[in-house]
Amino acid sequence: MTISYKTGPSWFPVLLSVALGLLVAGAQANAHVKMNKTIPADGASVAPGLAEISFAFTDAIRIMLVKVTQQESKVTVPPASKLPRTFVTEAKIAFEPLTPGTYAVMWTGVGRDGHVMKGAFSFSVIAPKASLPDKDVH
Amino acid sequence: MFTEITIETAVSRALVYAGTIAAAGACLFATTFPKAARSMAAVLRWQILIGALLIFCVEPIRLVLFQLAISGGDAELAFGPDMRWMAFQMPNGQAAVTRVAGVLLIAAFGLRVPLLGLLGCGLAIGSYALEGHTAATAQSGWASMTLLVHLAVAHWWLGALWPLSACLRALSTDDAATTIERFGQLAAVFVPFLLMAGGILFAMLVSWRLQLSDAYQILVAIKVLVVAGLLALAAVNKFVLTPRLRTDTPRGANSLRRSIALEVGLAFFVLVVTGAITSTSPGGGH
Repeated sequence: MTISYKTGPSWFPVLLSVALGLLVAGAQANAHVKMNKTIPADGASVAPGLAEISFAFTDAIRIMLVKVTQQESKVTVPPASKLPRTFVTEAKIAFEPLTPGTYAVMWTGVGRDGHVMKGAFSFSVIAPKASLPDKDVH
Repeated sequence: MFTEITIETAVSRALVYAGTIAAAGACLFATTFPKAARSMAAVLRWQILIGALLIFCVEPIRLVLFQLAISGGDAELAFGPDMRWMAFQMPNGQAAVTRVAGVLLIAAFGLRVPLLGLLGCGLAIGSYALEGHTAATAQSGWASMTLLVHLAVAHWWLGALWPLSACLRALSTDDAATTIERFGQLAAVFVPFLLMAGGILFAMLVSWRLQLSDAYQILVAIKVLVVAGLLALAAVNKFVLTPRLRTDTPRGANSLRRSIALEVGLAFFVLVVTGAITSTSPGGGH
């Protein structure tokens, strides 16, 4: 067998060139999603009765996990609301009112590009100050 | 600076790239060089088998790692009823399923029914556009098409390396030289498109801002350097070693085989760097 090849079609590279020329369009930078802000913020102290944690991200993310653990008892507090089932830039997750203590929040999510993001922060729920007994005034 | 990259992510991605390059590359070689492929069916079948095995072994591991990552490392949660199928709702899970389907098509029909084989190649190569940075850019349609041009040529080029080396044994000297010369002619046309598409993609992803202190851009610079080495080797093959095949056959064939083996090694290094690049945020994101 003797192999020989015809010269390839000359239009093909031209077609590719045209297609590539069309492709030169500026897309925006695409850094991985990061957390912008949380309420409560990392390290914040809040009053008892907090029943919601808010997240804001730099871009849309599908939140996969929000795990809140009370540090003193090591008990995980289950969310009272379901996590959003779509890609969101903001989310509010409800909990039963939190009792005084320090809470660690760990979250994971997936960006539209499929990258897994994760983060953690903590805050404290401060016990109300005991009210002083009234002094008798004579 | 390189905090987002883990060795297992970069290597597992490189193995997936190697898998589709092996499987789709063999199929594309058979389509481009049908006469040579008839005498090399066994080599091409082996290459497809190795590619398919890589995909079938590595993709499930990547999905398990993904499940563990989204559940914060808690295996019970990762495979519990709430999260068990989460990977398949995400871009990377869907890309993996598409890739597996494509490689299955190639394995079943790649060398027997060219159209189905090419459809398999399209699925395997196109799967990469469903995930990653290009899928999330503001103009993901354009970025994905650029990526497809880049990947299609990369699969055709790198996937042909082993068959080209094998054709030195499987074909007569004349036929092997003719096939390798023809490959060199086509590569001279196609590879510039790979480079252009890669450059355009890079520019799109970093918003046309060069910043070599950024981890993403450093990795791209490393990739460019290694690809430059790969191109230099390819040029030696085309202009020095391939002509020597016809004049000094045994030594020419040995030199060419060694050079192609070195090209395969460099190509795998490029794939590992690419795996690291795809794990890193472009645009100074961290």
